[in-house]
Amino acid sequence: MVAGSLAAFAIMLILDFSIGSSKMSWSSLFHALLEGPIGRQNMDAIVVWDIRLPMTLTSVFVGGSLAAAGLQLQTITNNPLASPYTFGITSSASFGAAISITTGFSIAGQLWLGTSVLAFLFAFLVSIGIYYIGKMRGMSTTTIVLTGIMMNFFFTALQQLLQYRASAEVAQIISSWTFGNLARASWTSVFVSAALMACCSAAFMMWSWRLTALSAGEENAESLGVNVKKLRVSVFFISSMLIAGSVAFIGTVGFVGLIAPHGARLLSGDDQRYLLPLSVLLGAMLMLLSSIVSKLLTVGAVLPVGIVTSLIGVPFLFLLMMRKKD
Amino acid sequence: MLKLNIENIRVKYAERVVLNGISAQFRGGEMTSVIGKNGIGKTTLIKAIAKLIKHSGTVSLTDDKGSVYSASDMAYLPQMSTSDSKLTVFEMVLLGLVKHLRWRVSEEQIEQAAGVLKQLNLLHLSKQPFHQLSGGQKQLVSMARSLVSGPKVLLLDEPASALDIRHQLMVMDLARKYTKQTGAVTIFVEHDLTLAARYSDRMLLLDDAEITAFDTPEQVLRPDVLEKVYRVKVKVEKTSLGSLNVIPIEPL
Repeated sequence: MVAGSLAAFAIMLILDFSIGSSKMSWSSLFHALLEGPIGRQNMDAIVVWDIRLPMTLTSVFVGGSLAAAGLQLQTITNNPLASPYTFGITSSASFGAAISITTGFSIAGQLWLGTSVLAFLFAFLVSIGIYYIGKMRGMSTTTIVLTGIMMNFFFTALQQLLQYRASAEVAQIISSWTFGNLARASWTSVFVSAALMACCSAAFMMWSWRLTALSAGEENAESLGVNVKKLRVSVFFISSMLIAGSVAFIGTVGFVGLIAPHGARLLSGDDQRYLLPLSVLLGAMLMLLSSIVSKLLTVGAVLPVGIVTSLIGVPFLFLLMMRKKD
Repeated sequence: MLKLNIENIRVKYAERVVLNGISAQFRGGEMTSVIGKNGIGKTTLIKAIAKLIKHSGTVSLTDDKGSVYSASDMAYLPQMSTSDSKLTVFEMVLLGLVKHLRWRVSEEQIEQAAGVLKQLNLLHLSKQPFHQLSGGQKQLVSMARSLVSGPKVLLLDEPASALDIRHQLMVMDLARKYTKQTGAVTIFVEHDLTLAARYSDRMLLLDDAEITAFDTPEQVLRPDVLEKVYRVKVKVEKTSLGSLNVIPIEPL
């Protein structure tokens, strides 16, 4: 199964990299890759190094990050519906981006950077808000979930309000941001999402047995000497960082964080040593597949990937559910 | 011999005092049952001993040589697990070593888990998902998880409740065998007084946040004591096995 998943991942990675609005043969792709990132001269190399690679790699790291965060939100709340999206973290990022777009907020003269930083800040602040409200009520799963749902509705409404009052042109930009678009990928998004995914996954792996114990039930974990409250706080904090870092660059991507962990659980069971890497892999694959489909559906342009993730995600989970009835 | 001393254990939930300065000494190699009415604080007491809830007072575990042990030498088994975990039986048992497990499980840890499963005749279930087991099997696996670390103190919360009589005996026999063989201190909460009497060297009766009686089953299970605490008319008989049978007649 591991070899099969890795092979499927490699095929998707190559396919996503090879498909794009500018048609390129395999040999020109290969030569452009060999030319390297520095001192590139021809158009093919520029397309490969400035557009294709950042898009493909951002897909991989954002998909993996959202899946890892979704898995751990489900584990610490013991709720199968928990995900970056249902917790309102992504909608708060959208709101942050909408403020930035409406006000023209920029950092170092860069509008995209201003949007990314505000999206990150809002996602992060809302996560802290959910955490503190949860902490006031003893970090009970019901409180965390309910607070997340409230935040989702609240920030969706605020973002819609901004969009409603904005000019048609600005409203269009906000709307495009909320769809999640890989066209915004850059080497910055690659490095930030890769670094976040690597560091946060390493922490999750370090706690893999404790998280496995927690998935077997809160009382079970406590009885085994796991400090459940401390584990929940740490995991929630790290998951928030992952989500904020993922959506800050390319916008809201729904469903990956919900569906990839479920798929992985059906394939590997509850042992986090295998469940986490498999979730990350499936999250990355789901993003790559969505990216491929979005490029194929609209020749010459790129359909926002956030729209496609849900369209692909539902039949994907359905197939897995049919495969294993347990 | 191990000695578990609890001194002046006091637990408050909101304004309600659940345990009001409980002090007792438990001996290694002995099984002690904690009995009393619903909601009287039996689970709270063993959770306080396991240091799983906030309490005042002290819990100390020592042996004849003066060695001092900590909470990590204790295993607490919560009331029967309704977990629908998809972990395998083997993984579930390994969780008993959770604080020492690394990503790569050592050979020694694998042998420990396999050893305890073999002792309990559960090795054939190793690869089965936990959620597919029967209630009795789940409880035996949970016991295996508690025993895998070789605890000095075994704290069991209603280990035999919701089990059929065969599994009741299997689980309780297992606890007794472990206690006698290893010289561990075992304390278990039990509602069924007949079952509790059969497996107890001593019984601790809780009422009104304090210890009403802490003695042998013959001394604790006297009709006058039980009628006063449970407000039920009872008849206590000696069985052919030599243990006591408590027959509830009618509520008072």
